[in-house]
Amino acid sequence: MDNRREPFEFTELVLLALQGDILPEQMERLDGILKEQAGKIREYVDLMELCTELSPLGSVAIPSTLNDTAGRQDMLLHLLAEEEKTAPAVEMPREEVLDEPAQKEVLPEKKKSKTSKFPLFWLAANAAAIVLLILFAKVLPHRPAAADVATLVDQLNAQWSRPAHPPENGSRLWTDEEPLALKEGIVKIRYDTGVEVVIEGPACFAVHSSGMFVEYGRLYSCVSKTGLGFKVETPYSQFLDHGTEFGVLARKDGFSELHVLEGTVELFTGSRGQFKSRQIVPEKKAIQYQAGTGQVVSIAVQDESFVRSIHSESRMVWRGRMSLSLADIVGGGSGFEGGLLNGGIETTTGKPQNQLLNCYPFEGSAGYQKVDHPFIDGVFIPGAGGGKTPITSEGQAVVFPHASGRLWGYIFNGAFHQGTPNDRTPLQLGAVVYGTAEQPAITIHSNQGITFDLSEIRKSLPGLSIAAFHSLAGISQTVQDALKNRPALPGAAGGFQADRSKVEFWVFLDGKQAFHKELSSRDEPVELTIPIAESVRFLTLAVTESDDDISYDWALFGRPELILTRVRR
Amino acid sequence: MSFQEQTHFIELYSREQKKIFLYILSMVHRRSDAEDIMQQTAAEMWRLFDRFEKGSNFAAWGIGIARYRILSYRKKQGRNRLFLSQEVYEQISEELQRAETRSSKRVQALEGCLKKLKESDRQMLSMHYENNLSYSKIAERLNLSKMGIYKVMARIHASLRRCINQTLLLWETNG
Repeated sequence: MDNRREPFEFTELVLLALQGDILPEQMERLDGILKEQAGKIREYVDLMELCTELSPLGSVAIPSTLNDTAGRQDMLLHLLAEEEKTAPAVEMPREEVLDEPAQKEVLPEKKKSKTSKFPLFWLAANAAAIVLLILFAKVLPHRPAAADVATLVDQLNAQWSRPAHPPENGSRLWTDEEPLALKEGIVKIRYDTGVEVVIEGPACFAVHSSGMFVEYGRLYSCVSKTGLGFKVETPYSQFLDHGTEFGVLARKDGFSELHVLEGTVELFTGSRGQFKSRQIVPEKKAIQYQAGTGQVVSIAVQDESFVRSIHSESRMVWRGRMSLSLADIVGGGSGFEGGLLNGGIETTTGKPQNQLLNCYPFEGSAGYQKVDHPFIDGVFIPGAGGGKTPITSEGQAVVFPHASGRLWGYIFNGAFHQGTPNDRTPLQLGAVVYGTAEQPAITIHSNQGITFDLSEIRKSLPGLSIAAFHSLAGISQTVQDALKNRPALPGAAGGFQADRSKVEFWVFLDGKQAFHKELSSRDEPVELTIPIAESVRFLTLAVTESDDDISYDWALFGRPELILTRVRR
Repeated sequence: MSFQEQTHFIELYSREQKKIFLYILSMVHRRSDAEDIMQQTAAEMWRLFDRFEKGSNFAAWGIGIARYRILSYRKKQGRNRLFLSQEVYEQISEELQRAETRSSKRVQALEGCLKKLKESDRQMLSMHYENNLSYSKIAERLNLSKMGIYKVMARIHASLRRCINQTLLLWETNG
């Protein structure tokens, strides 16, 4: 090395290596110097130590007397122009294209101090927060090298406006990719660290090695223990996770909201490198930050407003509700949304049916009918054909002692009766009228049954377990009024009692009877809570005519729900 | 991990993280990659902390974990990244062990040397280390060549290193 001509060649080579700009021949040269020249290994380590100390990980702050940005720039320009005049021509590698989305081009501002300058007592008092700060602010302060750090695992109705070739399920997401713009729909992303993020369009976002940048949009994040230190960055704020579940709403107008659903999250206001304030937001609390005024205000936490999970196959969208409506499923929905009121299934065919077509009793034999809904295994007519009635697609069958195979209507998400001699009549249990959005119900006039496939439901709700089936069961109170006004019907089927109607309610788990009770229109409804083991696949609900006939068997399951519980990660 | 253990981890990690990062940086030399490996190492240490033998050398334990990460990184990068020869890495590793016993006064010396730098030199360091601007970005901002930035930075770093060593020698000589 000619030190007279290139006095800082060794240092320059080390800096090129640090920046990742070094060329193969330069690396070879560096290797040669380190091998051959005494003291260079020591010098190399000295330089590495110097870089470590000066980096945010180190404990040394760079003092400055200048606060004026323009002044600094003038001085630098002057200095560098002088140096440039004497610099020899050197081949430089191609520059990397930086991809920091939505970062305003601003001149760098001087930091007042490094995080490591925090007093020791503060360190001790905030120990739990500090480790995360360390991981966040010190270990990961810089733009990492491009890497694939996450996978797009699912998407529902996703419409992308960018990139031109949108990612598909299973696509790896890279830190150097241009920001993804989701026009509408929902996507689910899983980081290699185990962190899961669900984003609702419209949204614009980019993955980072330690988190995600969200220019705008709605995001839910569930951070596993291995994802410690995950952060969500918006143009004007950052949210540092402390092992939690939280939702972030970043608006284009500079407002951002943080809703902490579990654990705690630390909020840093201000853009990256220019934080103005920090505060811990505890569980079940929410804040709104307004970048324009710098105000942070408490708002009501919305724990069911962020999509937490999707399952495109079943079109499931879970927003945190801990119960699943079977009535919604019968109406063609996911159990959380989408079910049609009065939508249901024709029991004789298993086909969807959205209105009452035939109010006359069906007589005949129909076998077990498969239903084209991921969560419904099939429907059946107890007693049709005599003997055992199959109640699942796996052939589990039971004997219903009082079932003629005659039936009225269909199984549906709603609660009404209509037919000779009665006009359309809403059904109610106690004083509560069912068949509304608030009080959903499944109407099952006698001699019909339906089986749900719980395995399919579990598949669409990862992280959740089905704990129990809960519902009211009874005959509508309106039957009694209808009976009072009932005209004489000569030749009514045998056994019918003029002052009441009777049915039998049945619940089966994997073909085994879990509940059975005869109820009349004079009885109070019964509240059912039936625990469900993780191994149970089929839940069957059925109503049969008891020892009278099917007339006035206006039976319903009020608010039939599966109770969900969290599976601890 | 209990809260008490978490607190213990935090204390140890706060104290020793610099040593672990120095090891990774020296063995990987590309800073952005070193930061990634540091993050992975930190997460692994957190996960495995219940296996750490209390009272033993925390930094050495962390470096042991980092070593596996570095090997895996080199294997994964293959020809995409440039590396020094194995012989050199071994010498660097030995030097790092010696460096561990070096005077903690180096930090004090560095603080003094930074004050002696010209303001413009300090600003250059600040742009890179505190404001996280790459050399390319600094060159772009100042409308200068990247090569020129390397020249300036090399001079500043070499000056700082020389100043630190001279200061330490002076302190040693004067007791």
